[in-house]
Amino acid sequence: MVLPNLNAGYNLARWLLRNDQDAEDAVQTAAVRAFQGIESYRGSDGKAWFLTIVRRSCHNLIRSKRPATAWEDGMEDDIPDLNNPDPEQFVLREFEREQVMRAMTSLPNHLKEIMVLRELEGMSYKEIAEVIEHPIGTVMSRLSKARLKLQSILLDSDAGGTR
Amino acid sequence: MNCQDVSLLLDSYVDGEFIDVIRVREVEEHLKTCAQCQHELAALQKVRTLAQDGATYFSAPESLLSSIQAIGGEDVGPNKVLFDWGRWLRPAFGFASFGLAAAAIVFLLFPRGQVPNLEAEVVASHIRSLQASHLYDVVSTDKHTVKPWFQGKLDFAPDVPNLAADGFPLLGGRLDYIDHHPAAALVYRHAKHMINVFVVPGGGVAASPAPSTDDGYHIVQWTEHSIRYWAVSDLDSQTLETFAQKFIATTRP
Repeated sequence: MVLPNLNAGYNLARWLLRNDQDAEDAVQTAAVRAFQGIESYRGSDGKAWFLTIVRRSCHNLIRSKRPATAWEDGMEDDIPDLNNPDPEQFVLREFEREQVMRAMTSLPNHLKEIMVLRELEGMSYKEIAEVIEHPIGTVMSRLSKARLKLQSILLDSDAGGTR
Repeated sequence: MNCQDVSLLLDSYVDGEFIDVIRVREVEEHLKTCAQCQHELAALQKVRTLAQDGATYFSAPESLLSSIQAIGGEDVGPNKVLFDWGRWLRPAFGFASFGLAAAAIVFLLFPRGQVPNLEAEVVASHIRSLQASHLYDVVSTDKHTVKPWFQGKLDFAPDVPNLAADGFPLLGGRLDYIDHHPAAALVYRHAKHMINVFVVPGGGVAASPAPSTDDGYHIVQWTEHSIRYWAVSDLDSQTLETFAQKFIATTRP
């Protein structure tokens, strides 16, 4: 359950913790706990189970390093300035990628993790609910919020809708 | 269904998370004639595509992969030691020089992967039992339940000692297959560590408990009354040997 889901675990940790060293630490801690707590694994989805442990591990790491930071805090210093950057300076594809990365990174963790699990891991609402240890309704509302936020950053404001 | 309703359902709609076909149809009906909602749908789909294509999927770096393998001991093949010379040089095989010569012959006869390495086999079985959450087919801390369960499934019923008082509670048992023999696997726990005891009857010279390791797991194996036993765990070797001794003590008449 650990090795097959190692990439998924690292990806989630890397997005939540935003640097490689912290992500590696969190995944290692999670793996150790997974190996030790293995008896509590009762045949539920192995990936969701391991990611639950990784996520908790990230939570603990953030709490220990930056105790004043809440999971729902945004990365204030990372809000991208997207006022008319000149797209002709970049290859459009590269420019888009950079924009997306900055937009995603700027999301607070409780919205970011939903986007990662949904769009990058392709997990179902039910699986995501298991990983974040919240009800499906929470998953749905956070996903909607996350997408709206990204829309407002990445797309023209008149296409953002009024949901 | 009005715009507000559809708005709330759009995410579920694009994610295919509806179980209710009727709802899907209602949303589609509304979308047919509502430009505003079509606009919202397009924006939603665009954002999804951007996120999926534009956001990096971070794969685990090599350094992390190796350190996890070291912790968990899961064998992924290419890094496995080519040949365990130590196994052949142990006193159990008699003369060290004979052992070495025999090992050389065996090495030449059996290319890597075909050397009968029962240690690797029991460790693999141990890992599989943990991975698939298939530790036991009969769940019971009561030996009087576990032992008879094996009758009828195997042509023997293993002794199933109850070692809870020593800190090794019995969890259950299952069928397994070791060295071309149907085997019993008895599952014990110590703190947070699982122990699989593989029991294979049908031969073997009596041998007192001998420790070994494979892939980071500890093994203690012994043979008594023509029954071979392997205890496998990620427990430290000392505790595992203690367990083996207690196990043997209760199975002696």
